[in-house]
Amino acid sequence: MKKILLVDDEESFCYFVKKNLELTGEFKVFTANNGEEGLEIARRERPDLILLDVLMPGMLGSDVAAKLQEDPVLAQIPVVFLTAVVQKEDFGDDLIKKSGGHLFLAKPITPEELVTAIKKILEEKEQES
Amino acid sequence: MSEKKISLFSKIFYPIVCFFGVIGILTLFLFVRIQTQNMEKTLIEEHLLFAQILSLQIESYYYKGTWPFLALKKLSESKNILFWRLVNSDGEIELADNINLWGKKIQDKDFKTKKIIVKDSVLPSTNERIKVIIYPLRIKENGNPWTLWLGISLRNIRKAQKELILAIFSLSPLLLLIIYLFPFYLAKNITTPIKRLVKATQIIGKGNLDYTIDISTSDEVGILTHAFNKMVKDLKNKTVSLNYFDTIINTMADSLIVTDAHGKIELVNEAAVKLLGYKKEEILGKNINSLVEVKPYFSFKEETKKPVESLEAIWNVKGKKEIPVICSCSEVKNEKGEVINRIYVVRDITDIKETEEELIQAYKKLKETQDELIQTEKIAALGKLASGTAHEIKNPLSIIMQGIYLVDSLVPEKSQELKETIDMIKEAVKRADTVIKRILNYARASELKLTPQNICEIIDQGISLIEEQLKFKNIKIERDYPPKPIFVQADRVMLSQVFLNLATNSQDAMPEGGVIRIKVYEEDDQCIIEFEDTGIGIPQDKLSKIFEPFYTTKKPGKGTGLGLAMVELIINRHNGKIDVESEVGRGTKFTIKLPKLKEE
Repeated sequence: MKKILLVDDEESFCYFVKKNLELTGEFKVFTANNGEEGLEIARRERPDLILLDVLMPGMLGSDVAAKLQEDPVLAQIPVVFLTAVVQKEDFGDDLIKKSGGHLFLAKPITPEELVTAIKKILEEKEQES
Repeated sequence: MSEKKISLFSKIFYPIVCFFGVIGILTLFLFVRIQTQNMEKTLIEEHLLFAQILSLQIESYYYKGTWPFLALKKLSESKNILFWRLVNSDGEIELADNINLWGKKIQDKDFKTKKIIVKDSVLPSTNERIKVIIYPLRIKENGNPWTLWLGISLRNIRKAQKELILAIFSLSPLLLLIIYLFPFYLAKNITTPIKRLVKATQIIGKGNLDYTIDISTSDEVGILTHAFNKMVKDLKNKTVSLNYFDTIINTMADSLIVTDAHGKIELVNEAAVKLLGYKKEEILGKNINSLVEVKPYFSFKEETKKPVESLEAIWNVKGKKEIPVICSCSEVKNEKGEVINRIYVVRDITDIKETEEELIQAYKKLKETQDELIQTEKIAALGKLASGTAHEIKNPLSIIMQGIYLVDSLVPEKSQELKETIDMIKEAVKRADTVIKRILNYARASELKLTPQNICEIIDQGISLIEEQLKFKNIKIERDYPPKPIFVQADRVMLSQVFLNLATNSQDAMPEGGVIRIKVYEEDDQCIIEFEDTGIGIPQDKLSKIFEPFYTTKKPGKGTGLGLAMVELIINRHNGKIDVESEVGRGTKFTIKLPKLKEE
């Protein structure tokens, strides 16, 4: 069971994603509705992957990612931005580099697409180590 | 009408000469006559006095009984007395110069006179005209007086008369000279200034308005000359010479054509000759209708009630090109109101027309630019709106999407109805997502990141996204690419979007399959891309609208109406142009022109 952390200010979105991912039987999902809470859970649970919303009240997704990079242990966790601001067509090398080498996923996204993307990243991560 | 030309000089000179001649002769005649009469009178008076003295002597001697012989002898000696008689009251000659006559009766009845008689008589012997004085004495017998008769010779008077006439005749050349010279001088005096006037008139008549006549007299002729000089001066000041007029009409920029009432050309200036394109000799005398055809139709013969002002027309000069003109016509009429001449002033407005055309083009360009600016503004506004709202829409969409999938998963045993409902919701969410993406893309197209790109690679990149679908729908792609790559300044993502959109449209236009032909080539400094399909085509009336945002011919849900608008926007942003041709049932062809990147 891989541990996934989802940080998003939309509670219902968090709920549906958690349910959808857990229904696959492969993931254990933790959810947070703001950046601070997300960081707290990340430190406590050490998830295998973090899904970060970008535009949130308080800490922005990018701020959370930067905080995670400060922690040597947490910095190892792959971060995927899940956002409504940026869309697939905008994804370019520049944008990915700027966000610390992490991936972007555009909202809205189907559970299947999300699962596929998560699995792909986790596989790559495993191969690296 | 041939009238004998008699000069003014002759008219004055000869009558005066004749007049003076007659008057002179008459005067001389009278003079001679009066002189003669005076002389006769003096002679008679002298002899009357003489007779009186003698009568007194005779009377005194009669009473003494003798005669004054001495006195009578003296009487006989007098040159002027031809004869004398002393006649008694009975008419008998008592005494006479001729002794033979003594005692003879006198034949004349006048011996009884009581008054002095002076009468003309003729001397029988010489037939000489003489004067006879019969002087009655105071010696009376039987109531009748004695009379003294004196025959007086007029010979001396005749002689004096002859001398006088001779003297006059000797002076006649001088007289004749005077008679001749005076009228000559007079006539000359009158005619000379008039002759000068005549000469001046002839000179001025030839056009020399600078000629003036010297004024030498202050009489009527002088006044006339002065008036004439003034008239010439006024004429020079107020009117124009033929040469002056010619210069003006030939310097005119406008064409001047004067015709008679029937359109026969009587006068043209140089501009008109140039306009009509014939030689001047060929134009004069010709009918204007045979040289020029006016569009819209206009007959040069038509009577115009008032001058035609600035009638814009095309003059088709026969055998020459069509010339746009502004023509005005005015008519010259006689006292009866009949048209004698028509005057056309024609201006060639080719240059004005060209300028006008340029202006129209410039305005069109301006309008296009303005439209483009407005369009850009619209897009910018749309972009702001889209960016602002997209995030707010996408979040709820994300929730719906995750939610419906959860519903799908949570209910394993579903009725057909529920299954379809779930699928419809999933589809609706995807469609909403697509619309938002397109709006965002359209809005973002105004901000491009231009880098040198191989145009063929971009086309392929765009099409590759739906290439599998195309194959599936039995659509073949034929590529006609140049061997050498053509580079353009382009935003790779945006420009590939163009070809994706075009390919998507073609795919929708060919539900039964078909061919997409893509041809790329260079022309001057342009890169030309022809994108052609064998689809259903677009009707002509809709062709102009296809690039308008939110215009679509597709069924609801199939198109956003932004695809081609975006294509045009992106092409415009790349300083390119896109044109479309289409034929219903045969297909559609888009031609894109992009500025080629110069090879370094």
